[in-house]
Amino acid sequence: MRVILTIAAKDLRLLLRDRTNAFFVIVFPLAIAIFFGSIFGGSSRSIPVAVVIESAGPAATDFANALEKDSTLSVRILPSREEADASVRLGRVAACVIIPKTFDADLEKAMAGSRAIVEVHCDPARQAESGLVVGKLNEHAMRAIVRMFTNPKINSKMLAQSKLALVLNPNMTSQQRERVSDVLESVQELFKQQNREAAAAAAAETSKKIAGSVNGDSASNNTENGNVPVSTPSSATSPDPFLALPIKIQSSTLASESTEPPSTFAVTFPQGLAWGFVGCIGAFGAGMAEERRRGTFMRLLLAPCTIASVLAGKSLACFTTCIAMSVFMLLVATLGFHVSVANWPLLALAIVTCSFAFSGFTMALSGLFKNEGSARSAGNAIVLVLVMIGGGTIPLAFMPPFLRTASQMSPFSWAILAIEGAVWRGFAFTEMLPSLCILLFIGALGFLLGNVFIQKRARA
Amino acid sequence: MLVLDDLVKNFGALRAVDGLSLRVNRGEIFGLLGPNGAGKSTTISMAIGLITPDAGSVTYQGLGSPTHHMVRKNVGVAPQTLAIYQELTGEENVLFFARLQGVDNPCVAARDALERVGLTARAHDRAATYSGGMQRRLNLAAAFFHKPPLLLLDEPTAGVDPQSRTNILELVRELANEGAAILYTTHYMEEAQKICDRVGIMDEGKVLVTGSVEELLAKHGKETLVMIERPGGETRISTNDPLREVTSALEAGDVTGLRVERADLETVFLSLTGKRLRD
Ligand SMILES: Nc1ncnc2c1ncn2[C@@H]1O[C@H](COP(=O)(O)OP(=O)(O)OP(=O)(O)O)[C@@H](O)[C@H]1O
Ligand SMILES: [Mg+2]
Repeated sequence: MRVILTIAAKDLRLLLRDRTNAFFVIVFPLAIAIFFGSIFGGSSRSIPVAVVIESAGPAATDFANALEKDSTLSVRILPSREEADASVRLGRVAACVIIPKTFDADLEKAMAGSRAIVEVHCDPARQAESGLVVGKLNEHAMRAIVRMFTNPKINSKMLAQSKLALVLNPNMTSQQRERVSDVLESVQELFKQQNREAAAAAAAETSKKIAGSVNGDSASNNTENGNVPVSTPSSATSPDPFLALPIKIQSSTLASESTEPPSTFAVTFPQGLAWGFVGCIGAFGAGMAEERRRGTFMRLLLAPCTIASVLAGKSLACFTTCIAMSVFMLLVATLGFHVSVANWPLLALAIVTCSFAFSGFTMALSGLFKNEGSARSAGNAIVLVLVMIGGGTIPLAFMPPFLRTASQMSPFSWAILAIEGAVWRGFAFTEMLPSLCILLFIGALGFLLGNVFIQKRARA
Repeated sequence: MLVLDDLVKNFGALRAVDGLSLRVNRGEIFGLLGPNGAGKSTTISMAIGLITPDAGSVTYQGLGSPTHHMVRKNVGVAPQTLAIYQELTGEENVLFFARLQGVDNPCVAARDALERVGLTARAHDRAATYSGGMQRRLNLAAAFFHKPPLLLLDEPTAGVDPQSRTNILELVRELANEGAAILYTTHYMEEAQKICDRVGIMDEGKVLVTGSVEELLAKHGKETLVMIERPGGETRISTNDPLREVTSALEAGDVTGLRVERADLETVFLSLTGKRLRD
């Protein structure tokens, strides 16, 4: 027992002697706890979506307004579907929602089995967020339908249009037509009564809330009549038009121009590459501290060269490893998993830039810590956090605003965007330029900081 | 060649080097002799510019400012803590440093240096597999492969067996004969006595005296002890002229044994500081 206690006491003392280590044992878990706490708990967070309203009708405007009011979505109204698609492609929004030209017209004929479609183009790399968007859209579709049936202006027009559509529908037997017509007649009666009530209620200045609940009840009455059954959107593809909701959310992943939607491997490849860079940082991040431990740092300082060139040599090794790792990953992805690359020259450019950025980053890291142990543990911790917030491990939508800002500063977010841009987002050179510039800046800053740190440490 | 003038270095409250001045000339081995913690390594670090002195100056005569990196290639250092790559072979180690120094023919220089420290047979083994003494010799090879005019050797014989120690001392002598100025630190007075042209005795950050071994002995050493054994017993004579005492004793006859104990640097240190070099 004495031996055990003695060893434990010694190890605790060793831990406390190295201040960086102690910091990472005590402060780092706290930071992580706060980090995850704010991801899984917490309040205001919203998913960026682009919305295009092509239909001029009131239902389309209504639908878009509802989306804008939704606090879980942060809506950007864009004028054209090309611009919306581009903003998904460039990674600015998680998805774009398109309310097509025929939306209102289709909806008016809803009772005759016509369906209005809302298109969603999702970013394949942001599945979790896209899923939330589609869920939200379904919810809004349901609400829109309820509103539609309870809005006197719309519902009367809708009945008329639907009747007309029924008459013109060649696929129906006269028996079917008769029964549907009967139903529509009684629905019309119901609407009339309901509209009168609503008008009276408005006159009595009843609160909106009550009006809403009354409307909600009558909507469910409709469904109880069995004519507009509530069906889940996934069964909206059912062949019987009456078994479908009048608004259909049709989601698809965004494909870059002229190419098919990327395979799962293509989507995960850039993230895999990011983890590869993490490995390279890990391998070289403690390099300077290692030289110091070996005592060879002194010989390097004595060589007839500047510290900057020692640093440059070290980062060249890191750079070469990054490139070799990327080439290897690329070979496995293309040959093993049939990932197709949209733009090879841009991918090469992205990889070279990323390698530069991460070797610079590594140099800053290696200059930061004196002791090899702290260089390793602290380096790993810093990199882990940067990957988590910037590397798509945790969807942006789940992060509170301050972390989203931090994610913009993570070199990994830019690296992944650039590589995705070349592999499947179909970036043009100009579209990739901002990420490349930021990566170059990160790399240069890393070299500069690394140089300053090491110069400072070189002279005791 | 190397001139250190009134160097001072404090580590917090501790004054590691306290007004140290010395000069090392071309072709000369200057021994810095002192006990553990005297400030020898700190002095070496200041001499190569790895530690900035709090006061005083370092000058390389005829070479330029020691803070300039191009000037430092004229200096070879064997630091007290080994400075080699354990993962590389002996040859790869020296070759790497030779390339870094921009030596004309690095391969030849590396092979030559390994030969001179007696590591040719193990040149292709990783340094990690070397014995302590072999690593020490590799550390030395990495200091002189480029034949620098100034060599700073910090206890290059620590942990080396007597045979290799003799080889190293001979090598250092050769390097000095080739024209290098050598600053050699040690706490073995025998070494200092054996190879150093001049010695500085150091304690608590200060150089107490400098001079050739002979000068120091004459000035601060006690007289030589001559012990003469006769059948009746042993006579001890303290003298400045041991030769005369021995001759007269032999002339008197009846001598069964004879021992002469010269004063050494140990006694010099003792008389200067009142303590022994190694307690
Ligand atoms: N980096 C440092 N921080 C604090 N104190 C130091 C540092 N380096 C040396 N010292 C102190 O300075 C004094 C001189 O140390 P130095 O290493 O120069 O002694 P030395 O003569 O080389 O001893 P040795 O024969 O044991 O190698 C010692 O008291 C030591 O504790
Ligand atoms: Mg020392």
